[in-house]
Amino acid sequence: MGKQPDPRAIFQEEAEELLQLLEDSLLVLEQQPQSTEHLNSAFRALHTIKGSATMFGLDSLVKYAHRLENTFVILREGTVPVSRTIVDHALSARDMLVLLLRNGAIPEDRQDHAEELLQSLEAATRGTGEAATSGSPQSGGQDRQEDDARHPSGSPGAATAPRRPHLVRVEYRPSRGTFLHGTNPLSLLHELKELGETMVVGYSRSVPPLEEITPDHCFLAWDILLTTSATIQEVEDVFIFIDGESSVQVEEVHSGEYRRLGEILVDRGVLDSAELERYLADRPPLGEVLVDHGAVSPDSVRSALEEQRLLSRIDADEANATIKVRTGRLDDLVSLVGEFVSLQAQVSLTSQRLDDRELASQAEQLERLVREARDLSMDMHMVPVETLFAPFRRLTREVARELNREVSLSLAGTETELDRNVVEQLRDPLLHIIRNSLDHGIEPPDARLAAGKRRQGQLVLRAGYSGAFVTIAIEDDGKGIDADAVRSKAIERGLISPEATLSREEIFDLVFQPGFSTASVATQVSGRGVGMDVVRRNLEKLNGSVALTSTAGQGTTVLLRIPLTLAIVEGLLCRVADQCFLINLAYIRECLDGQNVNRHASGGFFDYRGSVVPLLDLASFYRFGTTDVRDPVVVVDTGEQLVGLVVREILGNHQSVVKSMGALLQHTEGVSGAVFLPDGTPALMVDVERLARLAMKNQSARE
Amino acid sequence: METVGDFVATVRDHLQAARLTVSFDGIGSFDLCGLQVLYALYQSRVRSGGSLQFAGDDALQRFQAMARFAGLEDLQELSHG
Repeated sequence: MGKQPDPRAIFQEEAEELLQLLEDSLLVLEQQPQSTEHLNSAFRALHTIKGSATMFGLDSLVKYAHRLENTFVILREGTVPVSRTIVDHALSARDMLVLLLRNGAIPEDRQDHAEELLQSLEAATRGTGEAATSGSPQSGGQDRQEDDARHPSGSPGAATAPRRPHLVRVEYRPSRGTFLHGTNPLSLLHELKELGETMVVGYSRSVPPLEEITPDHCFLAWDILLTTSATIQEVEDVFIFIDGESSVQVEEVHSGEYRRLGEILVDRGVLDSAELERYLADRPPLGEVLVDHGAVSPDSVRSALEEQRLLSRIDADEANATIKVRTGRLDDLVSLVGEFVSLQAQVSLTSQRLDDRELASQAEQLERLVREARDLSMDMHMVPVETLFAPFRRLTREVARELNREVSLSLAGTETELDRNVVEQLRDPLLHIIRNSLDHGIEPPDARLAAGKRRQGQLVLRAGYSGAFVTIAIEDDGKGIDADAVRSKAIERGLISPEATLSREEIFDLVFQPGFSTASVATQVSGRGVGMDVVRRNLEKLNGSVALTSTAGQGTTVLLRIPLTLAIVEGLLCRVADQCFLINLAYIRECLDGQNVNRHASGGFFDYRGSVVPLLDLASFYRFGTTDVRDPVVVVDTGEQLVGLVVREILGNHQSVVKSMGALLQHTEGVSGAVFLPDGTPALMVDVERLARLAMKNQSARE
Repeated sequence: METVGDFVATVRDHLQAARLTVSFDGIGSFDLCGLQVLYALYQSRVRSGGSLQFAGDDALQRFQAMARFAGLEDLQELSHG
């Protein structure tokens, strides 16, 4: 048995996720101030953090979250609009919660600021601060978008995607004259039942004794818990014809949070929190205590208990659907499966050597199972790119402000999945590129207007699949890169000679040279030209690549290409002199018999399907001597460049865990790692991207 | 008894009896308004300590079904006090 997960660590992880959700919701609210969906989402995130933090005795965090939550309670009432200033302060207050979560306290020099943030939010939501009245530029009435959840599909502002079933609480309080008005509450209950699964709690305790009753007055009331895919608006529409004296409240009940009975009753306004505290001292069961003291009616308790039961059922369903596993354990699993893969290869080899049919059949079965286990464990290691992209919403907003830019960030292909470890290692490169786009790419609003562009610059992060690779494009519609300026700078820096003839791609590739920068003034945002070479180095460590294309005046795209996974690689095992090399299958286009290859006289090129393609002799490159002209050629394709790699012999397919080269050998050119073969001997992984770039250089030089 | 009002008037006359049995036999249709009166009757009788019995299986079952649908307390439980 493994170690039990530490509840505190789980809380920490979940709270981090919730704080990210809070940030995301606030950023959407800034653009869509009337979105109750995101307002509720922000509120719920805070509420859950506060509730969980209470269990761990994190008093400072609880108090701060509670005060921040209070401002959201008021915002949810809808009497105070969400302004840009409120979002600003709420985002900063959220950062204080991050400090409280991670360090247990706010540093002394920021405590006053933390308090000021809350006070200004409190003032703003009381309607006395400037924030309450200062709408954001984007919050002008006409542009405001209505909350998706309040509109039925098909109506303006409606969410077009079908909603997942959610829990809705309807509090229906008919007026005394309901029957006389011609409304039959039972018909309304019928209509609600048609929208989904209902749990109806009727209140009969307000019905007076028979001596006092006016028979045609209505004294009944209802709480209905409805599990439905319908929107809030669709539920509200059921009550569209009730009289003005009756009241209906329809509210979504979030299923992600466990709520105690007392909390539900306080939220519903049937009990105040001070009263609850007092009765809690009497202890269990709370429902009985409250009813005995006449604080709430048995019907209220019954209704709240039903809600609690339904929520715990939904939570239990969700818990069955997903389970949290520590990432370290997942890494261990992938590593273990990798060892299985190696062992399975040894078993297959042994079965071949012994020429035992029974063993061969078992080895085949084992291979199939190991392959399934490999695919499954790799799947578990994948996370959507959304987790990588999401934090950049805030970053873009902050950096754009700092630089006086107006920028709209769009995310595309966020469902694309990547190895979790790859995602971790892509954060810094992506950060550099985005900062560069904002600093050097997207122009200030006036400059954009003068150039005939929209005032607001567009930045797009787009992910997608390309074979066994994931591509991430960072696109901006800024001023682009002036190829002549890059060239001049490269000459000035001594990176190229003034006579060098370079293609446009090669000129842009200079941007990735160490120390290169075209910015006349280095800023705090994009640094001092030390970024892009680091980006390339980091991508190469991942066996990936980075390329840049740009059109002056129109914008720049930086394209990252990353292998789907780092853990286990399927490759073609080849012999070069007396050494074994593995070439990642993802790059291989085809293998050619050396005798059929039309090599150019120089030996550095060959004809391939109507094109001249560089030919690289691996034996010569790795200094193992030379190869024979009859030796096979493996044609690899990086997406940008085709190269023929000459090997002595092709041995067959092999899948294995890739090991890093260690400190001494990590800079070996053209090698990206090592694998162990079934007999225990090592084979080196060919760094195809690196070799392709070298080949491209050679090709340019010869041309 | 033709209307709920008639029903209330009739039952009020017998409210002081120690034991009260309300028969639904002969009731053709009823509505939520009628059901509410039964809860009013319960408030008067059971809470003050008097016993209450409902009679007339078919109609009672229909009243009970309506109570269940409306999420109200079970009439059978009310009649047992």
